[in-house]
Amino acid sequence: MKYTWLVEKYLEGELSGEALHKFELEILRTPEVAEEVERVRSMNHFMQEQHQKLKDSIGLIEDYEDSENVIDEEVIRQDLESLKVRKISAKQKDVIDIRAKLTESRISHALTNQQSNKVLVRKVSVWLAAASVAILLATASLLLIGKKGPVDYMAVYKQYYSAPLADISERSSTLGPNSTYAMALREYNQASYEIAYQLFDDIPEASVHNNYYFLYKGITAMELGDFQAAIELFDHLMTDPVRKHKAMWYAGLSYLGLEDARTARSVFKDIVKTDGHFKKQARMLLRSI
Amino acid sequence: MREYPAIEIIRGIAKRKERIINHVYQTCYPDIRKLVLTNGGNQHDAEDMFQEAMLIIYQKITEHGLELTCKFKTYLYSVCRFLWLQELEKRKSNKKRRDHVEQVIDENDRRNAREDEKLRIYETHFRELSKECQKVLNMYFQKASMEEICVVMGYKNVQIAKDKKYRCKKTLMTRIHNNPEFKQLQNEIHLAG
Repeated sequence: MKYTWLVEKYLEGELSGEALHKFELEILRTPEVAEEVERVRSMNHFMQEQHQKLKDSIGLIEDYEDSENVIDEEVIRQDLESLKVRKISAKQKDVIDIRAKLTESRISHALTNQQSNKVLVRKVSVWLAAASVAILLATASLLLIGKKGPVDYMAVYKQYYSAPLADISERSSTLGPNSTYAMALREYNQASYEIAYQLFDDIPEASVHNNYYFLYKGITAMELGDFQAAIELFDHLMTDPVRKHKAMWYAGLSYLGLEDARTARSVFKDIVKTDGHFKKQARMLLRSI
Repeated sequence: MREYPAIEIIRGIAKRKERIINHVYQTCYPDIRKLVLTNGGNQHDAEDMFQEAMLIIYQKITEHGLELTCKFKTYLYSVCRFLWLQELEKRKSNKKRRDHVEQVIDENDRRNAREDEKLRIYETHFRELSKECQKVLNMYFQKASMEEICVVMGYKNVQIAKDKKYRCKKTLMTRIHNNPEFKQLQNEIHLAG
């Protein structure tokens, strides 16, 4: 089953404009793509249906930090029954007061979350001013002793990423200089990434025999900012002993592009464990993130 | 953030101290929201559940007193968990009442062994997934928005949530699709017409 990111976006209604039109044409022109879309749609429906039946019996899905001390339902039931919880009247003064305070906490919490990226100060107080000065002093000390502040993942990405030139000799010997693949590589080498991507797209994946296709198409996707599509393409190379390490490197960088630091770290750590070309770079990059 | 011992929190709730209520909200609400959203509820459900639990606890403290051998957060979580399980039971039985007419009509139909088999295959592969995938897909199949999934799972942005959802779905789908029993079931259904 070839459940690609593009099929997912199409079925979730996330494609629009030119991309949607192009994919719909692809469905009309290529029976394999149409079949695949229907297969995935049918499986989606199956999973949704089964999950509805399953959810009633699945129990709670939870991972509370102090889970070993969570009090059993039966104990809580007896605890509350012995309390004989009365119907709480909405008119009781103390109940009104506590509800109001809970609501205020909720609003304050929501506003704090919204404002966390803005430079806004709701209340000026001596305590806040002192806290600000303390933070400034701490930041200055950190700068002086050469430590880093919050990580700018895009900056790290730009520092470590570069698009390699495609080696013409990597073409399959069965393809001529005027083949779509050869034209795509030429456009890629000239940094005409949009045209290169369209040319790569015109080649049905089922007909691809040269795995460099996935590598260069993936890097083209990175140049166009479509990191998710790039990751999808690099996935094809994970069992390729020759191109796997390069694919892992660019996949890791793509996760940085998505600001998914957790997955990026995991990929780079895997690279460090290998004995490949990118081991040293991966080690240096991990220090940055 | 300052840590308050349970006894101070209990006293603070009894006196309806804003500082304490705020502290309880900040420290306890995220886990409760995660519990509710991961298990079929939405943002409003989480807020309602939290408020109801706090009112019950307030009543308990003021009328009978409360002594804890665990953290206050764990006690509050346990009460919310209990209340949410009750709510889920109520919703399930309401659904069964609505579906009752259908069940009466289908009563004479023979039990469909194929349906049981489909569910068994799905459940086997769902439970093989990582806890993270189970949580993400449970929310997704219960129509949580990607923004809610992003907040509950602590992802940095919605794009990461979409990526995780896609990967988890792909893993599950591929395993089910490659299951020989599933393939056989599909053939049987196809032949039955």
